[in-house]
Amino acid sequence: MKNIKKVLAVVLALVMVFGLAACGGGNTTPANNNTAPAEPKTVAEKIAAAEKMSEAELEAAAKAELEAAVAADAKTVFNADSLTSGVKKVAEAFMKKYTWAADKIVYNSRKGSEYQPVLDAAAKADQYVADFVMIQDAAFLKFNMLDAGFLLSYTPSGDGFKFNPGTTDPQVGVTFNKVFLWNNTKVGKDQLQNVWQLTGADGATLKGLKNASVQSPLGEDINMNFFIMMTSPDAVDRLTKAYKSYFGKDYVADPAYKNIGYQFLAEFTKNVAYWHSSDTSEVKNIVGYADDGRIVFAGLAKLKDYLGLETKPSIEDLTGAGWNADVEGFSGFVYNMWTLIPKTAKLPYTSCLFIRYLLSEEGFKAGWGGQYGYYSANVNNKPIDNDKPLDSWVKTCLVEDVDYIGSAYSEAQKFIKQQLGQ
Amino acid sequence: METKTKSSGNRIKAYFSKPANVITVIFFIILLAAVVLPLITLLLGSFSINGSQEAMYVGGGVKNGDITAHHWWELLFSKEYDYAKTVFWRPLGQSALMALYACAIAVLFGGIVAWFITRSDLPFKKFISTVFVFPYIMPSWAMAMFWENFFKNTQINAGMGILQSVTGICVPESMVYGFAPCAWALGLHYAPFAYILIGGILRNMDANLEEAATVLKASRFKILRKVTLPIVLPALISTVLLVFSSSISSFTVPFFLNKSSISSGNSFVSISVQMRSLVNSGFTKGQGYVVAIVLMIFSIIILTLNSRVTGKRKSFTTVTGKSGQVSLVKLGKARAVIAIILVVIVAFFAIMPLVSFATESLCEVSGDWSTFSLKYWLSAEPFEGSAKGDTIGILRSTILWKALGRSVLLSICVAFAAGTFGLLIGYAVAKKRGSKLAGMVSNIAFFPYLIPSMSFGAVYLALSYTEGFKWLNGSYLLLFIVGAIKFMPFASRTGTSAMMQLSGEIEEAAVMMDVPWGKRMTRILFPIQKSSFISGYLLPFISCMREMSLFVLLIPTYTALATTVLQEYSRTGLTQSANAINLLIIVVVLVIQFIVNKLTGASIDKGVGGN
Repeated sequence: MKNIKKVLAVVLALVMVFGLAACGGGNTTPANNNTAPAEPKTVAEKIAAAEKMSEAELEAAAKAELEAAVAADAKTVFNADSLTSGVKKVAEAFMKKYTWAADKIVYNSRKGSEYQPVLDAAAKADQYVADFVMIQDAAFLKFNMLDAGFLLSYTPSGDGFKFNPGTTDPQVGVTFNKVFLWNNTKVGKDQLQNVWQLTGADGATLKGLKNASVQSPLGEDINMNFFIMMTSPDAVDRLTKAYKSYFGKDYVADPAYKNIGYQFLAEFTKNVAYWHSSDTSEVKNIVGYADDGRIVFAGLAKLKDYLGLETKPSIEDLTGAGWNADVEGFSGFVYNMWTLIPKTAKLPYTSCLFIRYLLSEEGFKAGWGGQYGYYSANVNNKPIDNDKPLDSWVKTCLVEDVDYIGSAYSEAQKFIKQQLGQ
Repeated sequence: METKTKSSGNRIKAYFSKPANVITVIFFIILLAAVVLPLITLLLGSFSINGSQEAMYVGGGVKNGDITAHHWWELLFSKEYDYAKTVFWRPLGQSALMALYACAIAVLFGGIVAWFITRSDLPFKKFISTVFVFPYIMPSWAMAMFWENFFKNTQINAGMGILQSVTGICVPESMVYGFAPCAWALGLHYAPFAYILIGGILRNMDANLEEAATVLKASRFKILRKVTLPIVLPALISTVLLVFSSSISSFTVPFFLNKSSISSGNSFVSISVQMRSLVNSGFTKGQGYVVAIVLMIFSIIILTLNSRVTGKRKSFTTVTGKSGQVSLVKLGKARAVIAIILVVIVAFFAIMPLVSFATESLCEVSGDWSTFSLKYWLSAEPFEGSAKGDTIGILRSTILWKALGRSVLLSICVAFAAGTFGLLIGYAVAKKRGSKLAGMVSNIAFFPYLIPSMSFGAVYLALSYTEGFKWLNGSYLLLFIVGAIKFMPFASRTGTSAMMQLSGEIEEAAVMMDVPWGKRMTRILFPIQKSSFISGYLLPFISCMREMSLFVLLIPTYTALATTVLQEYSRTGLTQSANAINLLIIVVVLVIQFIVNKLTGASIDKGVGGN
């Protein structure tokens, strides 16, 4: 009897969902013939249907879907897997806004390298893993998840949403940057002006610097991608121009290196003074690096740990390449975190609504508002006032290019490991 | 024909009438399924293309799942940018050397302290014995962190450490970062392990053997060389095996203590760091598996050595059931001096890291007492935008208390299973010394220790997504199974060592009196070697309490266990809370150890002779 009730509840809920979808206004195509639209069955079909819905329609569909699922199994929850704790805050705000989802959204913190085997296993077995996934390893995403068709994209539309080309398939959620930061109280804001200073060699007018602190790419995948991108055509172009400006002469290719990027990598790696084990701790410790003005390569987003201190110093005591100082060559590295839906998701409409909320102004503010170093893929969402817009960072930094990383990985990582292993 | 069948039936019946045979066969089957599966997966992974990323890396049109020898060739022989040399051969050689140094430090330090505690009239035994095991309860990186905090100095641009701030002394960079500090940190971390294993044997050793040598006017050194050392040899080799395997595959210590610039010549990239880098990248997973297999081969060599010692009956029966009054060596005038030196050293390496955890959890800025705050312990208000109040003071966090409760429960269950399995395997191996099957069971039982935790977890993760095993996915039962198998080697080693010491006469006497096997185990064998067996339960418990890598792929959410909450806080910059949890885990382990001591009268340190 109980089961029959559950089944009836599910059927009724689904009827409501599709009824609402069919009655939808604005964005939906009105039914102008007698043939009923095909009922979306797969997650991909539901995402396609959701992309045509208004927010109200999507909410109704998500609500009905969740209620039906809970009626069928009271333990049902919406699992949001992500590396960034911003999603935890988004989930909390989402539950406040959509009260019918209260206590049903569960945030699961998933570190990239530890989460990839989970996604791999779920993809191979075509099994449920989560309803929402936010990951950042571009190569893993492209070659293991997208090519296999396991993770799907939903792109919201409407007045509040605007995306740059190339950021919707797959759907970018938030973009991050890692830049060179230092305590400027004694060494000044202009300590670093040209990226070639980081090789330690003196230039025509500037001195080489021997105080860079970087997390080893052997333990930090993002840094490995950054190092590989230093050998890319874009980096070669930037480095060649910066070389001329720094040394006052044209770059002459060294046959020992494949290109100027490889040469820069070799000299930069040799000159790194300190290989820190945690960006977070190192940014916290910038407070104590006034004397040597240690140049810390870390996520600008880590400034929240620096700024979290209630005592001195203030934000003015910090300089960041590309932020409040111009550096020739490149200021750092820009990379994405994607918001995706597994094709085995149990609550795809809720997933779409969740992503829509995360990318909205309200959702972005809830997750990452008031913090440096977080840039929404929805260009209508502005970063914190004192930060630069994403467009600016894209111009001053190397940008992660998954196709280049894929094609150059074999040779570049061997070269990088050779430098690190000396 | 019928007679032949009857005769073989009788033989089988007779074979299975002996408990040791039943145990051997059952564990052979269990271990074959539980241990060989991950081994085969690793081996296959090293000879196949693991995903599209790797196919792209290998090139030549290979596809996911294709068989290839590329990973082996690339890692062992590639000369492009000195790849094989830089990524494999040099790190392997250096790491093996580091692990040997760590073994030497652990065995010497742990062994010497064990000898003083069990065989001398040293004062403050209880204090030394209790405190000496602390470093083993802590995660290994805690010792590395303490090492850096103590020795770092401004001359090497690493900030002021404790030594410099107190004495003004700046040690050279090679004492702070690189090869030697890694060996020291690991050696000191595993010294309690040597202390537990060697001390357990020394304590239970029949003093008559040494006394007989003394009567025969053998010198003290000769007694040590000819009597004591041969007796503790099985435990010594077990210690070397466990410490070597752990040290060579330790990731956190070499990663944490490798901060020197490359130009300083002090940079040390261990094979474990290379392995993690290879496995974490989708492009080079197969190469990571190759490294894991090679590391296992290293340990197998030591394992073979160990088997030769125990398998050919070169071990010595030292627990005979007869009087074993221990006469303590009188240290004379050196007594006080040795005691003071030991107390200072032991307190320094065991208590100072705990103090450092406590201070780190109480200061907003590391080492700056003007930023003192109790909020990471007591705050009821969330101090970071949080969901469900999990970033409030840890003592008020329901999520943490629940996670800690689950950790304790899981560790108790794992310890019970692993400890009992180990004890039974030890019994079977001791009873069937020389038997090939028993030898195989003993060796296979050790293999989980040699498989990197993450890889071990990954195999069971894949299994939990397989048809027929899906009910295990995300369950605590899966954590229990994986934990029980992974930590069984501790128990099987201690169980085997302890059983090997027992004279067969003890059980034989009971057999003649028709005492059933269960009663013989629980009333005779277990009580005699209680301290060693309890160690076999406590070691998996401690290891499970502080384990993270093994479970991280299998847990349903980060709030599942105390260590995963700790990792989450550490990752999100809440280092004070992470340090507080670390301290809490250590305190919980100590409390449970105390309870075990009160209930059973045995504990790790008491087992060695602390009381």
